[in-house]
Amino acid sequence: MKDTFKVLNEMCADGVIGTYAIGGAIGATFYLEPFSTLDVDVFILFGDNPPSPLLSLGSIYEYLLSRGHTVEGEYLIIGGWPVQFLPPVGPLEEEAIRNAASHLVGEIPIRVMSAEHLTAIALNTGRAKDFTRILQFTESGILDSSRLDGILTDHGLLDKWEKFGKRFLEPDEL
Amino acid sequence: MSEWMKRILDSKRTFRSKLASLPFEEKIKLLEMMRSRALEIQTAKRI
Repeated sequence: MKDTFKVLNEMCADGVIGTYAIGGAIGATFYLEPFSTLDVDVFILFGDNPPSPLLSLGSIYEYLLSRGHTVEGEYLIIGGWPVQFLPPVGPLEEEAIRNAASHLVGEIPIRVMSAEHLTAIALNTGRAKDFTRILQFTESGILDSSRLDGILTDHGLLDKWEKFGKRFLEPDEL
Repeated sequence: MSEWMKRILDSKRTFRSKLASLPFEEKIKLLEMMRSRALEIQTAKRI
């Protein structure tokens, strides 16, 4: 996976992508226990004035294929890991990419979404596995509640959070 | 919830918290092992 991270940084340096942030299960693993996952979700912002997300994704494929990486379904195989490049679907993801924190893995710098943004994105996505992850984040005690509150407020997710809390965080009456 | 069940859940929580506190490089090794196993299981199911 370190090779995957190296290639992401090279893509930034070569201007193929503007910036990136690791999200999904790998991003969550940065803060929590490791999760079994088959792929790496890389959220990306393109540089200034990209032609369009589709054309920009095309340039990512072109760049990587010309360097010997391969395609498998919707994934690009980089450093032995299937990687999915995901442009932001809305302002929440965009903010999560911009505010990602830089960390060192060995000598390799990587950008990872914050635990609070990963939680908000999981809440917004709303699948069973996302709810499980939110519970793991809340149980871990690592969430900065005022930061999370701010994100949920800014992105209109407070109602969803309240419903989630009633369903999963209130004591079981059984 | 019985005391016994509480103890089981506590021990799982402790183990998860121990894993969470590992350096990311160590976690990557675990991720790679888990992925290999998942792929092996997927392959076995197809036979």
